Amino acid sequence: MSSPKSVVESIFLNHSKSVFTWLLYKAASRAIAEEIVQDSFIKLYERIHDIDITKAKPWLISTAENAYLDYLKKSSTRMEDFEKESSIESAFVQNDFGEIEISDCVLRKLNEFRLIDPEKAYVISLQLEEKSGAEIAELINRTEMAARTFIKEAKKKLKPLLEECLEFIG
Amino acid sequence: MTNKDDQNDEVFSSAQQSALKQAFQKLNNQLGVDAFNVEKQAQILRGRLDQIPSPKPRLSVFHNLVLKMRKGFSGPWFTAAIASFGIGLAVSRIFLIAEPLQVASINLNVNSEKSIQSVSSNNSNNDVMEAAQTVSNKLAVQPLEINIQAPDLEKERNKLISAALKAGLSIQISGDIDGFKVRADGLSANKLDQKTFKTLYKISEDQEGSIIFILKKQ
Repeated sequence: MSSPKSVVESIFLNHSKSVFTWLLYKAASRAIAEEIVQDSFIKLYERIHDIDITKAKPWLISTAENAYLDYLKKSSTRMEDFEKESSIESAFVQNDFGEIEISDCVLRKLNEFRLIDPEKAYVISLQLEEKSGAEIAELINRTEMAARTFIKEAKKKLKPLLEECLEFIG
Repeated sequence: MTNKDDQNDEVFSSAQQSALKQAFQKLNNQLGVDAFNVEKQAQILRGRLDQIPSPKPRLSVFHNLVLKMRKGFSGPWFTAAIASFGIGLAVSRIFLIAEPLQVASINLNVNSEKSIQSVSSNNSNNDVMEAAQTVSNKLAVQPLEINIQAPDLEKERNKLISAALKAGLSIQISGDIDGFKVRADGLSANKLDQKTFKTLYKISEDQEGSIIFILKKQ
């Protein structure tokens, strides 16, 4: 029988990056995201006997999200707005010739979309990483069917934003 | 349904899908997703977990109750409970001892003079009434009063006290401007010790109870 420590370590190795990415999509800084990921796994360890371990992944995502929201409440709103603006600014990438590439146009729009609706941006990214519907469903704590519908809705919401960038692509 | 089927949902063309994928990779790079070093972070987590006591399995409500009871029987609450029980017991004993006396008063008329005698008892009402009845059956004895007039009151008083003490009587003395009152208690009939005292003050040998001597200046 595995010890609680080894169970938590195994989940961490497989899943911590997803939690970290989710926090980045929610506009957390890397340092804050790392700290929240650590704290979330510590909480998982402390409550390992109270949690259904098969649902550890969605539990971690929601725990991390709540921790980040608490952090935001403690920080000033102005600082948060500044961080969002700076994220959007940094989305503009120019190539060596000073031209904005099509992918950068998409990138800029994606960044805007991520800041407006991080959960939808995140599920699209998960799907593009070729994660299965079942895997995504587990992460966002929905049924597989509901997850698929959610991804489709997310894409539909993203599409109008990307029109000006994607009109050149068939 | 395969991963490919999942992606091919007709919202974006496959070329658009590919551009989107590229853009997401860039976005992830910008955000620093790859900066997360899982191994290094796992090492940090291991260090933190080592400092935390191992979580205990959650016990049933019954087990929790038993544990709490065990703790209670050895902890400060148990000591406090025993102490308060002991104090309660002691206080209840004090109240039992200090139970108010039940008093019955009986009015007796002896020789046209009214006398009030009181009896008291810690027992039930019946006992009090029985005790009162016993008193009422006895004749109320009025202390005998003897007036003594003497030129030197103090000398006379001292003589009286000395004689009373020799006769084994208990005495109470009170005084005012007019003179003294000496009450002698414990007179018994035909008691040899008291014979001299009774002769000196011309008291009948069968006199019992108390005598009040009223000493006044001549």
